[in-house]
Amino acid sequence: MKRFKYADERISERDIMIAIPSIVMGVGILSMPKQLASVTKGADGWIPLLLGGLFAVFISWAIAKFASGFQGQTFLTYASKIVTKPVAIVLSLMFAILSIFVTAYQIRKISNISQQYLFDRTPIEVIALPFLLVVVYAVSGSRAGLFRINMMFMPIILSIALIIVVFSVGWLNAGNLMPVLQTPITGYTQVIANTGAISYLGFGILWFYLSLVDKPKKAPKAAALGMCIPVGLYMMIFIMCIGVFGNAVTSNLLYPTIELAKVVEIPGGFFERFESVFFVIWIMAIFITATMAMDIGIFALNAIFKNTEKLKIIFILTPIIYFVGMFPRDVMEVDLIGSIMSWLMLILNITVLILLTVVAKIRGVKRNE
Amino acid sequence: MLGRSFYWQNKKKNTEENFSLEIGTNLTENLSNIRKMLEDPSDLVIREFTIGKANHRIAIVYIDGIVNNIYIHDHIMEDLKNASDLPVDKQELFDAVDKEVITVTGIERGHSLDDVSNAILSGNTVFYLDGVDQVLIMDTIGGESRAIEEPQSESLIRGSKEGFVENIRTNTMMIRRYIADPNLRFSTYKVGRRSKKELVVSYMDGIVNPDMVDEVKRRLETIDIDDAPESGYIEQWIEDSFLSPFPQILNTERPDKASEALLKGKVVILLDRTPFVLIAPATFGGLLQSPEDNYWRWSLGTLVRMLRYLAAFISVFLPALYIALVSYHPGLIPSDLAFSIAASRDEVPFPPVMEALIMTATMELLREAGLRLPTAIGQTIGIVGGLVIGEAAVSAGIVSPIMVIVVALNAIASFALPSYSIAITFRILQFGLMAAAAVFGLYGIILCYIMINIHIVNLMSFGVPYSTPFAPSFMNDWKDLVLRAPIAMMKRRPVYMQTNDKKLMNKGERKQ
Amino acid sequence: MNKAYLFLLGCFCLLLAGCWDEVNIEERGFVIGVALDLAEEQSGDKPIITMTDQFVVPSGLGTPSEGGNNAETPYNNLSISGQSLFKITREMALIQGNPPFYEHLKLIVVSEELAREPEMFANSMDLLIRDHEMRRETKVIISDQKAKELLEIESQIEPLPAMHIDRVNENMDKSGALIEPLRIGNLNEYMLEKNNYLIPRVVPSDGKMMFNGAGVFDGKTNQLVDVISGLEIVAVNLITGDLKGGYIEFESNDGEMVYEIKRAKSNIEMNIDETGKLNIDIEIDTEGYIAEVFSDNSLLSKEYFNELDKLISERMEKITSNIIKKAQEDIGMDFFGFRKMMEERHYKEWLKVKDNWDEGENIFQNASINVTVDATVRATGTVDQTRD
Repeated sequence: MKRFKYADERISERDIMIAIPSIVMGVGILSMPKQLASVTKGADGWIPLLLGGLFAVFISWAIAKFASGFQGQTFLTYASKIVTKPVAIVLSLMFAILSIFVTAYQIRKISNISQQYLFDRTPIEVIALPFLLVVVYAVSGSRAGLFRINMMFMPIILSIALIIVVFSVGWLNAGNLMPVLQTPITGYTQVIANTGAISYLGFGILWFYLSLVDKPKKAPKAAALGMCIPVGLYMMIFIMCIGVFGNAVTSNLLYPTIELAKVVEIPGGFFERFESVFFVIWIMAIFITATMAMDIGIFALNAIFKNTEKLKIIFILTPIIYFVGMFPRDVMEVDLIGSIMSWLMLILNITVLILLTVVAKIRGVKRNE
Repeated sequence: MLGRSFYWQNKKKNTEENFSLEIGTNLTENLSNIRKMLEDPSDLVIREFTIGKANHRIAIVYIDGIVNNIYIHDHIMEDLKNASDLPVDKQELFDAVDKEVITVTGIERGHSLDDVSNAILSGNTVFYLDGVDQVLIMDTIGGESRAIEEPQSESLIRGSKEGFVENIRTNTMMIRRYIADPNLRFSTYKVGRRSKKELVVSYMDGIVNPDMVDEVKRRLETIDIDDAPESGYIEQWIEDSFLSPFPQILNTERPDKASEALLKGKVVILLDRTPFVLIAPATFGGLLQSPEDNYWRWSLGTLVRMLRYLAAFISVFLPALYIALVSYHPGLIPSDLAFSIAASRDEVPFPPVMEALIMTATMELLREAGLRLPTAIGQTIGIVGGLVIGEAAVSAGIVSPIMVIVVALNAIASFALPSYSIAITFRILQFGLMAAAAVFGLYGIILCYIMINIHIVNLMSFGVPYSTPFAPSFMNDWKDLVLRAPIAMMKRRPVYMQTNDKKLMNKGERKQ
Repeated sequence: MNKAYLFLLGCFCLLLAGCWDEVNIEERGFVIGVALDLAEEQSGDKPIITMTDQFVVPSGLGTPSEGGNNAETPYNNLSISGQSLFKITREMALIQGNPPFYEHLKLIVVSEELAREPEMFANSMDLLIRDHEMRRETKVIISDQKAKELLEIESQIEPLPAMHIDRVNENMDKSGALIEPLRIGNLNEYMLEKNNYLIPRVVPSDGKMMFNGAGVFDGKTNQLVDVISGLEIVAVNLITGDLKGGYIEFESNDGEMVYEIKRAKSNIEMNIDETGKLNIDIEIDTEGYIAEVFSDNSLLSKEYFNELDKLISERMEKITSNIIKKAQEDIGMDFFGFRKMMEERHYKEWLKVKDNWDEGENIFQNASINVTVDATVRATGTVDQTRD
């Protein structure tokens, strides 16, 4: 059947712009203010948050710029051209494995938080299973469908986040934001190591999805712009958390962002406890993060095993993700795995970026501009 | 098209036939052939008489009731009787009758019994002349038909009161009246092996994307069915996914809606014998639009649109939210309301799921019963059901008063939607959500909502993504989606239709 | 087709998963008030707490159509003693048909007796902050008598005692003698920051109750140190600038008058001089009306207004200085939040003095605190004189 030009598997640069915040905003934001506040004074955490954000914007731009030089080629194809096929396959596999870990981590995390805020006795395994199945249902559809999902959910997600920010202004106590700039330098370095940079992980998708973009020339700008959305949102939420709770409380709450939603009172008294509504809608954000991560895994694997059907890969991956997700025993282990994973992802992205750029320069691999 | 031996295809093989399918030169034999083929039904009229000085035997054959009797009398019988100076030679006489005598507008020649039977069964009149192995087929289609009335299923406050009728000619006429454009195309098909209904594909050449028309025609040509009593058969045959609860083709009774769709670059499919025409492709946004939105001023149009999205939300989510809040998250309900719900549910023996299922099932029964009965009784059923049963159920302690409100609001919201097919879709989805809410509370509802969204983004209607223009998003089309921009601002046809002619207004400016 | 099967599979899994957490609304025991007392009979080394939960009896409230069933009390108080509050809540499920459900908890009352014990208050708040059913908006008050008595007071307007107290607690803009309701979230903040704080205090009498003053809590040990009166609260509110509305009675040449404060603003400057002495300058600016006059003189003249302004200012300066004196000398604690202000504005100095604020070197107690008040009378109500 002949489809309309825009309805095929190609995506536009606007889709990339939405995809970046979609994958970046996941479970991280729920606990991010706590981690920042615990090592900084007052509201100083915004500085590393901004610096990390600018760094992430730059990396996204750089990756998009690099990948856009190879229009219509998958990561495996152009990486093979630059650093030979075996190395390219290893890199792809690493991306795939890490992406699958990200999916598993997100699913585990959402189950934990859901159990805390929405359920009480329902086992984590049972909460995770339907979520995973919905993720699987999404990735088994078309890839363009995923970008459409992003496009439909992103406005809802952003508006619920903005509602939280706007309606908690009433509880804001400016005094809580003081003192300004009293954090010792070691505090900042600690933050950057802990949260600043890894809050924005997700630019890895650009290596893969850029091969689907129609006009890759516009993609770097779109990717950078897309990265600005989470940077702005994170900063707003962080400042509101500090402003409402104060630094001491924020660093003591496990999920300050959800607690912030607890404080919000929507006029009209329709919802007594807004945090459940917020969290339920935030499930959509976590869902798209998990889905995109899983799709990247499938995309990378599909490029390596060309003859294997996509559905087959999905059916093999699903139980793996489930067991990986259910493996950690407690909250601490989950967080540990999460931060190790984020670091590996960050290192991998930067390594690949430097490696490919340098080798491409040396070997003079041509880009099809 | 249909083969020559059409009759044989459709006749059971074991029947023995004793007539010829050819038209011979012998009139008596020809007439007996047609009688035998149709087994001489009582509505078959065969009028034999002679004309001309040579007293040539002729016959007029038609089926009573589906022809226009006055027309036959005035334009065939009278003309034949009053004709003078007719040639003597039979073939010349036949040509003269064709060319000079008969004043019927639509006339063509037939060569076989299949032609004859097909023609008379669709209301044409056939002219036989003894000694000629041809017949004249004259268009005398007529008979009783319903007058143009206000459409029952889509009545509006403001807007045309005309609705489509069963007669496809009247329907095409109505569209023509809306769009007097030479580029309005009607391509005719016959569907139904046995019923041979006329089907017309209508589109605006030069506006519509040609690929769309080709795709619609390709799908229509695959239809192989005995009969298509209603356009629903066509819809179900050519839709993209029969598993989806969402209608992928819109139907309407309103010619204004159909012509508006044509001008937006959509394809309209009309079928004879049904007032419901199909509009393809459909998108999710389009389901919640009514032509009336554009007839009122834009501020009202916009508010009504938003109200409809609210109605859609209520009709899908309300009972599920009730279940989730009452059985899983009472903390979300404002304290005073929570206590009064708890008080009112004190007597109710069922869990909220059962309560909701009982009430929604009752509601569906009432709706169905109200449809079957004549209007006056239907209303009574509505009142009896809504008030008496609701009240009695509450005092009997079967359901709580809040549940009655929830169900009533839900039903009202679903009937506030502009098209019945989407209302039904939402009522189906509502049950899925109720099940999810019963198992997982709000978590189940949101997962279900995500699943519905995944389904929508993967669904296509004739190659057009169902979720457009939300996603793939076309900012230009958002002017006519949840909001309805002032008419003068909607300068372009929907971008998602990829029309050939992009502009809706040439100047694009409103002149003061 | 595969997608369809997957979809169905998903649906079935949803259905098969079961409903661990399904508890119908009428089977929940809504707790709207909690009272904490020291148990009458103490045994062992660890103190025993009596926790009283106020359960709502929805049928007693009645549905609107039935107009309320007055034969039944709309609430049911249940008291259990024990060391662990969590254990108590679980024991309540063994007694009460509907297990306690705290998401609608409005009010926590703590008896002064319990609050005076070191660490007891903080310990008993732990569950109420930690548990996921608890909300950060629940208000905390202390009670002069047994806390559980407060949960039995009667009110014509509000059938539920806890709700009634909660409503009265919000009337801060009518009387300056109420401090801003203390939400348990803020309490958590004070406890973490080790700043001293005030908790509204309620005095029950004859089945009624009244807000009267506030308890001063030590931020380090979280125990009740002293109690201040309603008038003193007006002064505290004036100093901190939190006054939402209230009144001051004062003596003029023409007899008693009442000044209603509509707007109050305070500006606090603080610095530490070379000798390490803390200086705090407080400027208070108020606007208001003459609300009640016990004389028959005309008020409307520029001079008279100026005179009134001066009288009111003096009166306010007096009450604020008194409370500061009380804080510095009698109680020996800073409950105005000066320490927090210091941290916010002079972080470097704060680092030096934070452990010597009202302990050790007692910087606060030795501080010189100046209050200047500029009160303005804007009008005299709708009339000048009510009699001649």
